[in-house]
Amino acid sequence: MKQLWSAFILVTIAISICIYEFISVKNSYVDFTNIIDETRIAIENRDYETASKLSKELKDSWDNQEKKLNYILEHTSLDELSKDISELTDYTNEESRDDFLSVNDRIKRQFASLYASELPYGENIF
Amino acid sequence: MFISIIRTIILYLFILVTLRILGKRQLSEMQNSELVITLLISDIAVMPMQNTSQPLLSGIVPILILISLEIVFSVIMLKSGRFRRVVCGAPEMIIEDGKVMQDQMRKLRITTEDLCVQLRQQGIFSLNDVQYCIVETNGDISVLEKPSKRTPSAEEMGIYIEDTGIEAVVINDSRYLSNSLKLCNVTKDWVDSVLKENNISINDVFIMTANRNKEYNIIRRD
Repeated sequence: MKQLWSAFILVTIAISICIYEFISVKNSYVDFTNIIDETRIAIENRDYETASKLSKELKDSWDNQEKKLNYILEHTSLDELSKDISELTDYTNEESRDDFLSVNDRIKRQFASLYASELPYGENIF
Repeated sequence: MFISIIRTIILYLFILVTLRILGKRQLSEMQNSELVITLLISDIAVMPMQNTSQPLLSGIVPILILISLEIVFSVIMLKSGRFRRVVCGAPEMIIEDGKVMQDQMRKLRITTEDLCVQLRQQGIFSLNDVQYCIVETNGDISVLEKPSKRTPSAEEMGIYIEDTGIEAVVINDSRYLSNSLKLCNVTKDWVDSVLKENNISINDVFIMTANRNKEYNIIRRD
């Protein structure tokens, strides 16, 4: 009986870690996707000042989140995102609309991919 | 590289703890499920050790699940013989009443060379000496020799052998082993008195063994 309790505790710990990971990734996906969409709208309206502010907000939020996500996700994909987010800020400052939109879409796809890869769907399991 | 070192230490300690939770069976002959678990744990643990871009949790979480599965399966196997047979199989006889069961050997894919190797490792050098031979679920063989080849026991020979009880190491590397003292039914004071009688300090003792009859053996340090 004691051993079954040990098994139960270990499974609970493992599932808790998985739930924490899922919630962290989901929250990151939702928060950052909102900021990216707002930034895109600002760029499309050629409101570079708002876009610059939003990009900075994105970068600062990402710098905080990245530390937490490094505990649970593969670092290579997070490093890619960091690089693209830095580029986004540069393009906003340089008012390079086309480059910005390209990187913006890429970042959004990367976040979507990070989130989708955490869902327990068949294509992820197999 | 420092990260690899730290992760290796963490994972090594983690695996030691998990094997401790699994119990002594993992260290002795393994059943199928135990072999699978041991191989999987070692493979999973290596990945975050070598690849520092993978989070450590990606190794720890699967190992936790594997340990839990193994514990649950072990408990079910204890309660259900049928489940045990499904997972581990059943022992199979390959020599019955001195006759080699060739069909069984073919079914188990055991060659005569394999059989002879295993028999020799048990001190049996002729197939003619074997009355029964069983292949256990962990792949080992158990052998019963023909009566004329068996070593007679003291009871069969009508010889009385005194029971000296178990001999255990009571001092190891100048340290008392309290579990062994209890096993031999001796006390620390008795051990001290023996050492005093033999003019030995505990710091000079490499190993001291004793049994319930208070017979002892002391090996000094070099």
